[in-house]
Amino acid sequence: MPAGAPLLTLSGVSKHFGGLQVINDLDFVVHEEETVGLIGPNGAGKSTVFNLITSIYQPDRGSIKFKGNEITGLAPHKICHLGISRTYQLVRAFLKMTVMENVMTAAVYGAKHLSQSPKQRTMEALELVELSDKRDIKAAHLTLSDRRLLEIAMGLSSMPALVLLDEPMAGLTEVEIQRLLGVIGATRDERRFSVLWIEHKVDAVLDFCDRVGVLDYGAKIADGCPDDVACNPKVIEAYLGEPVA
Amino acid sequence: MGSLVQVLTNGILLGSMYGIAAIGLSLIFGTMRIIFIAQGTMIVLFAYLVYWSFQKAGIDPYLSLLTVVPLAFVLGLGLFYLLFRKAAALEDRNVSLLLAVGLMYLIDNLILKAWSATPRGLNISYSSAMIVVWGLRVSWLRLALLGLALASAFVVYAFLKKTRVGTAVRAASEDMEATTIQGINSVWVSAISFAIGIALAGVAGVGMATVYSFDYQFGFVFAIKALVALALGGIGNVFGALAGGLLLGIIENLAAYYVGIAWIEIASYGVFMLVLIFLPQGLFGRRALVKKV
Repeated sequence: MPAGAPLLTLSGVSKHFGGLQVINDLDFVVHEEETVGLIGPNGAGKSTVFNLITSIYQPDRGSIKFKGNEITGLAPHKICHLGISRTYQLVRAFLKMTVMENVMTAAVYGAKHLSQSPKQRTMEALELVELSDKRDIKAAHLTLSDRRLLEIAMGLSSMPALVLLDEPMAGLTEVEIQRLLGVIGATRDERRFSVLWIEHKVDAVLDFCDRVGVLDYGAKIADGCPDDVACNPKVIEAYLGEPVA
Repeated sequence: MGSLVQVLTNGILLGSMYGIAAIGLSLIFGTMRIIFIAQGTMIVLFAYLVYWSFQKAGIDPYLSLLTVVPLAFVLGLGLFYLLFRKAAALEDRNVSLLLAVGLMYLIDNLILKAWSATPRGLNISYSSAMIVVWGLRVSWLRLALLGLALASAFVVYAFLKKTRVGTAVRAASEDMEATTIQGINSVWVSAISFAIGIALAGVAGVGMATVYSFDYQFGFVFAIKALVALALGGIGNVFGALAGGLLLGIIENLAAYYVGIAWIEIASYGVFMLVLIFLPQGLFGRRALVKKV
């Protein structure tokens, strides 16, 4: 797929916690309507990248731009209003609220000045993830797979330009993974948003993404089309350790 | 038997004050994650305002609900933005807690300066009016307290369940970070729930002015009583907090009647500790909400 204009640009971003350099001088771009994977071994700093983009953490150095505007240091709720939505590996939907209340809350507060009412966006998002018939169930009573879909619906209800997915397949069965991939693929094609997808498991990302970046110890060691990245010796080394010979 | 019913009735009526205070504590805890120890002092402050407007202008205490409660809400917003805005964003909750302790003693001493240490109490035309139902003698003013408590609980419950802002408050009390990620301003949602908590202190202040004798030091004790009520009822549940307050009132009155006045505090703090040891989720809280580590 040909890449559009840059949507999200990280330049020279660094972050440390105590003596640990978690992200080291990271440059990374997501273009409009592009689906990008960000892979790397456990502890490579992938979730920290999301926490930096959504402003839960502030970078020590570097800048983050969205649609050409600097967003570094903005409050997290403003980043959501600009059009970035996010899911968590350990789903963080509101468990004591119903499916409908969860998505409505995200729809009401997640975006301003949209032509569609929050209610319309809620219904549409539930339709897209196929949870309409479960809208009055409390989130606590959903299966893990449905909670993931709920969190995706919450994100979609604010009509984002960029969706950040944090290991959406973790803990799901093969059937559930296929269903999730189907939903994400179909909504992406309909809404034409960009996706930045963090994943620990490599195969699904290689199939699904237009481009893949690889993090290791907080630094980018590869960035390119999935086939090239999969054959890159540095990537193989990061995952499997140094070759013996 | 008749006297037991009378004791229970008195307990429920006085306990409704603890209930109102406990609902306020619960709301503030939901977003700020601290026990707002100055809640009792805020109630005393509003009781003084009610007292003052009665003495100076002859305004009926229940009429002053119309001014004191909105005033309390605005004061709550102001206090939050002035004092707690920065502290609430810190991971360390102790800063917020210490600010609340400081605020409590500051207001205590402002009250002392303004109104002296003499205990105050209102003497209104209907102070001693009684109603007799099935042989039970009930003071109108104490019955009105129960009315205030029930009304407060229903209004707060409806706000949390039926309004969009209320839903945002519920979301924030489950998971503040996830709430901000969904586009909700964490400062704003904390300020709203804090201000409603202080508005409830305004409601309780009216109640306190009508039936208690109070002085500048009364607030701390009252905050602790509200905390006991909250522990009994289970945190994060409006009607649980109210029920905890009523129960504490009953325990106190039973102890006073059957064992002696000196045992009131011993009984209530004894029950408080027993509940925390054996039922940490409270009598009406859901077990699943207390995670075992």
